[in-house]
Amino acid sequence: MTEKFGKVERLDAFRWRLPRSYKDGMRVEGKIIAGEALMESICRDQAVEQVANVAFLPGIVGTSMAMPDIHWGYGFPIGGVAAMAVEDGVVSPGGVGYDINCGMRLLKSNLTLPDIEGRLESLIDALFQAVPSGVGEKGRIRLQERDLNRVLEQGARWAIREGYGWNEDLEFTEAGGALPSARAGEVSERAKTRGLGQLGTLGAGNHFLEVQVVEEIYDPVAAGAFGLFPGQITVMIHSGSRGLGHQVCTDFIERMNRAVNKYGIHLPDRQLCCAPIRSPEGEQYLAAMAAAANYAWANRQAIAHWTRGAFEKVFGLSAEKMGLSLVYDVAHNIAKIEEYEIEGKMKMLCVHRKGATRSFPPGHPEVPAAHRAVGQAVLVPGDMGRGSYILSGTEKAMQETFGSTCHGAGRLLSRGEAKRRTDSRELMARLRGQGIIVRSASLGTLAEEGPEAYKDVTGVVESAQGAGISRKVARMRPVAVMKG
Amino acid sequence: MDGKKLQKFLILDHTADVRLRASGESPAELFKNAALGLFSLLSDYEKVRPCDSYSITASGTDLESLLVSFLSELIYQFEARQLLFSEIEIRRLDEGAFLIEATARGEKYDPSRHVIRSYVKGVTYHGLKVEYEESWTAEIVLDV
Repeated sequence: MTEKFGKVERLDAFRWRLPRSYKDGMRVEGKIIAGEALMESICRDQAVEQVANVAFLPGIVGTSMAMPDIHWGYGFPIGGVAAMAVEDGVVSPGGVGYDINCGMRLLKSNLTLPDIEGRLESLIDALFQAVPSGVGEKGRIRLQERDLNRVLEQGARWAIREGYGWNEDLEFTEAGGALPSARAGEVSERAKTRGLGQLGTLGAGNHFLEVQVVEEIYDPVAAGAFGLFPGQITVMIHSGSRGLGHQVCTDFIERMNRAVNKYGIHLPDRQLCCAPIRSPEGEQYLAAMAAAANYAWANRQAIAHWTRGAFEKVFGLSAEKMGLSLVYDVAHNIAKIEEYEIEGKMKMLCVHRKGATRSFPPGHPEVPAAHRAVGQAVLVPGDMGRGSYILSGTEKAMQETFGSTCHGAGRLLSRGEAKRRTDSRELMARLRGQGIIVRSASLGTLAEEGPEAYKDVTGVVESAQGAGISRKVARMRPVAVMKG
Repeated sequence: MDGKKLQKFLILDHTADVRLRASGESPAELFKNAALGLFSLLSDYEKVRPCDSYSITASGTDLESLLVSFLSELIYQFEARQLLFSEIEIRRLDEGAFLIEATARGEKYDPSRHVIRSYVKGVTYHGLKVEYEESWTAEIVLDV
């Protein structure tokens, strides 16, 4: 069994160990959480090497980890989790990603498919009109720089004060929708220029807004706590910090490239560029990253608000009457300062989650009171044909993966290959035949995002469950999809 | 050179991203062709009219970071100012100080005439090496 995957050792059906001898220079071991079937494809790309490379980072605590959806990325693998001690460890922009606080938001309702079926076309049209999407699309929110600074420091709280949503939304958003460590002054003028025109836009690529129906409940108690029931209509939003976040990442990668020489940090891969957390570069990055994260939360809050508006327009009822409340909003590209017990002592760690979602357990104070008995809601998108999952966080995740789990299905086909195999119009017709209406701002690139282009997220979610780092609560299938 | 025609740039498939392979007879020509490759990724640049000129500058600590910086600057101009480019001329490339000055020509994005092809989130260092072997080449992975 061990020869099959080279130097990677099997610990159990869902855990694989990279010993420090895997690569000379590893400060800690590596650990991959995945079922054996997933390991085949994981070992085929450079991802395992990247897990080993991350183990070189100064101050890394525990192990360099990979979630079941791991695939290679820039420096850090996507699906990578690494925690560094705040006192002597580093922070790395590559461990967060270009799209800072790319994340998920799920709205629920008291509607069922029969309630909306007759007007599904009108609904998706209304959503398409209400939420700007696609490349080059300008946002609906007019901002001056001083307003933008408030967005960067107050995130979703700013959005709600401006009328984009309900106060209670904040309780069901990770970090209350705003990281207090954000400093607008650390975000460059270039990033702000890009952000000014894009607040309240969905973006393109794999971002989406999807009307779904809850198809299967796996954990009735947790589903009850989250307010979910079979046949219920939900809306899932996938979006991030847009060009502002990308520019923050680009800016700090450049600065960190210079910082590694200054601090004498030797790296096996330039893309792991970093700086000590307690250095000007490290502190500035974390403050700018928090600001970009807040921008993304404001963004998803505005999009959710317009989603409610579209439902109101089409069905002639208030969003409150339709029960369109927020289940949860969670990031999957972010670095958080969190406290964990390490060898009997409480330690502040900077947890990098790049293509990984926080998965806090029952009883954790950061989990909303209404969910606390069952654990934090984890939102895992699939593809537009097969649907998505909601999971709950576990104590095992807290002990083993710094409270983290998977984030979604990885790509199977390149964009070019997906376009060669599938015609966008044919794809839309096929999905319609399956009862799924699609609206896309860019028909030319829709095929790149079709179901064939993605792996099946079920395998990922099952692996995470098998390892005990999250538990399946429900599965939702799409009925109407909006893409940028 | 022996008159062999060099492929200016090539867009290659990759699972989650896009690879841009560019080449040139000189570093400056390599940078120019990498920029043209980027333009072709962003939009149907044949339809972009070179009406207005824009000055593009960038700096780095080596040729690789200079190339990343240069392409990032072009992406910034596209996103922040809604500018599409179809032509570029390298005025100066200082290989010692790693500075570049260029003039890009294009126009403002017009949804009635231009189609935006893809959205580039970042220019990465993944496997990036600016090398010379018969010609100057580089392969850049772009996060889309």
